[in-house]
Amino acid sequence: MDELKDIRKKIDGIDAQLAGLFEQRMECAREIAAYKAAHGLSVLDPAREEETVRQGSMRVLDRDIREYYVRFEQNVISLSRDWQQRLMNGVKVAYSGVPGAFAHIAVLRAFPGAQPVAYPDFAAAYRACEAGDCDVAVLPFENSSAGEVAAVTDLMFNGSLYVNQVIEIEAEQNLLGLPGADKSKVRTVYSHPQALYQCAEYLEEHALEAREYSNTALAAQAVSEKGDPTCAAIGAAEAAALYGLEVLEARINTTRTNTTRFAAFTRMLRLDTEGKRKMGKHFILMYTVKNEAGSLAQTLNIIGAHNYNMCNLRSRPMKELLWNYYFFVELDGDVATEEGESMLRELAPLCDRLKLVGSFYTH
Amino acid sequence: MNMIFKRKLLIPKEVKEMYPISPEGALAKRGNDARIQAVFTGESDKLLLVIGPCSADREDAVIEYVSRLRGLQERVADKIVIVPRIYTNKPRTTGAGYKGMLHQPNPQEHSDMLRGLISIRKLHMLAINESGFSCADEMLYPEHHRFLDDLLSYVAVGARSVEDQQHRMTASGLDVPVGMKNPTGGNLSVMMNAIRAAQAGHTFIYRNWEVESKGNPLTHAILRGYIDSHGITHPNYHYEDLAHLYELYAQSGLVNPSVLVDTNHCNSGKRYDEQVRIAKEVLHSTRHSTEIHALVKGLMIESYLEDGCQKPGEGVYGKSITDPCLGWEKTERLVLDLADLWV
Repeated sequence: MDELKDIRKKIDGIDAQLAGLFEQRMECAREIAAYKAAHGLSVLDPAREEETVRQGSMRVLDRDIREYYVRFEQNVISLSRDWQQRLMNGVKVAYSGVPGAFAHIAVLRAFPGAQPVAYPDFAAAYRACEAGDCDVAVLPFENSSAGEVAAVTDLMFNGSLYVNQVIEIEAEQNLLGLPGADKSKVRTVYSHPQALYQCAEYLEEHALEAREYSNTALAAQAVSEKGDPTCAAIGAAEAAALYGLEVLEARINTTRTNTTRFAAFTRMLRLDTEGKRKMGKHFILMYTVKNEAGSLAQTLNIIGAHNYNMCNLRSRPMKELLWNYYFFVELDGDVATEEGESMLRELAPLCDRLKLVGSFYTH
Repeated sequence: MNMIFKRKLLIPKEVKEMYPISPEGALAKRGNDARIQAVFTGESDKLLLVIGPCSADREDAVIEYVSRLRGLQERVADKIVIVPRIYTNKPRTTGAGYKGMLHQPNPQEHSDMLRGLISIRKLHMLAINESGFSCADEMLYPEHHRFLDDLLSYVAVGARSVEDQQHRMTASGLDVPVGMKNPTGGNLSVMMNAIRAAQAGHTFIYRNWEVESKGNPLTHAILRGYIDSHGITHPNYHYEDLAHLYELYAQSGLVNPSVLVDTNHCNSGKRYDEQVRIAKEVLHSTRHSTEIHALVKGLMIESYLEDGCQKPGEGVYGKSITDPCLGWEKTERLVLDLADLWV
């Protein structure tokens, strides 16, 4: 008996140490949450979690115990994530649209626990973050089929915010109806023209009448208010939950490649130098060049000389200067390196205006 | 013409904006210029050492080298003025092989002239920021001097370029000492003519501009040995050679008669370790004649962190990938000895 007592005493001692360390770890997590909020980064960071678990497991020598340690570490991380999300509670994330719209879903996915704040348009959401009314602004800047979101690109160039995270949201369209409604009885569907187009085959197959709405969230709201079980909306599952609807059939879109990229704008630029990550990194430069022959080519030569691959180059008119253009360049690679620093330094004299909008991991 | 015009390169003004000299750097250069020029005008009786690797192949090793020179310079400051040589472009006898950082910022990769132009400025700028030395480079392409004019304190015109008119005229427009090497064949009148040309003013075309130069009174001679018509190398650093050069200067009416002796090349037959003996022998010669003592202003020594040389692919840090150089330990010993021997 005494033996058992002794061992339990030892366990109590270890637990006491663990408690202190756990508290310290959670205090660090608090700081991390604050940092992430300030830089527009999500709480969930799968690459970092994987790395932490992998490295942690190496510390345990006994192979059998290692297996349990991995589970222990995963639990600790999960608790840390919950804690950070709770801390994010006070974080305000601006978006443009109404609850249930794609922008809102992007906010919910990237910043669970945060408080989404709706604004009537992109500029209003952007300015809210610039002014400090919100901590982050989540705005779409590119769609895989429709191309750039020009208004957001312009804000990116003219505004003072930076982008440290890009969230990709694939448009998944669902048939949303009243709770308990029979999908075979549905006759009319309401949605945004883009969503209707993506589900055209489904609509034809089921002989459904399509009615256009200015956005998917409003369509869901309308269906909910009508209370007619023959009416349904097409939209995201999140919209169903918001407007008291039910997903009658999931993923009815036949066009599978419609993805929107949302940028998380914040007031701080983050150039992290954690070199070990295997994930791809991109960064965005925006600049104007002198109105001379070959001046754009000079900048591209500099980019090429530093071995950065350009994924995207486009020009946009500068509204205040007639027939003058600025350039948006998305580049593959890490700018937080000596190479990147030299490139920016060398570009500066060639560009009238040059902005490093941000650098982010790609998924 | 069968040239493909690949791309328009940057102009010096743009590259200077990318890598501007710091105010401290500009101040250091002014001080260096004054110290170096005083040696050529005779106001200072210090020995000038233009010393460094045959070619500046990599930034890190070159910067480490010049930083070490800084410590050494402080120890011999009362006797010696050091100008590190950072040679960023190399003339090649047949055009093949490593042509210097200007052509190949990475010796293992293909030529990239845009990167090269930026790299050489970056290297010279780093050198002055890290060590306070404004350095020496070879003027292989006169047009390129303007990329570096605010960073260099000494310029050499090589044995293969010394007969070229554009080199001579460009030298006439520089405000830093320019050393004219004797040509590979050893004809001293070619070198003396180059000095004469560069000490006078000219109107000519430079970087597509009509320009006028004032003449450069600090242009002087460098003796580097020669190869005769049978392919045999001969030194020209001996007492008799120096006495002969003194005579040539005396007849010429040129100002600031000066010579640096290049202790490597044909003077050593590229036996880099002979440089120690040759350097000391030159100093020995100066003790036998006040005229020669006044004529000899210094030495040009090829030295790097490691002894000897290697092929570009071998990758030994601080070892020359062109001509063999004296390693650091021997260099340090030599410089300290020269400070003792120079009176």
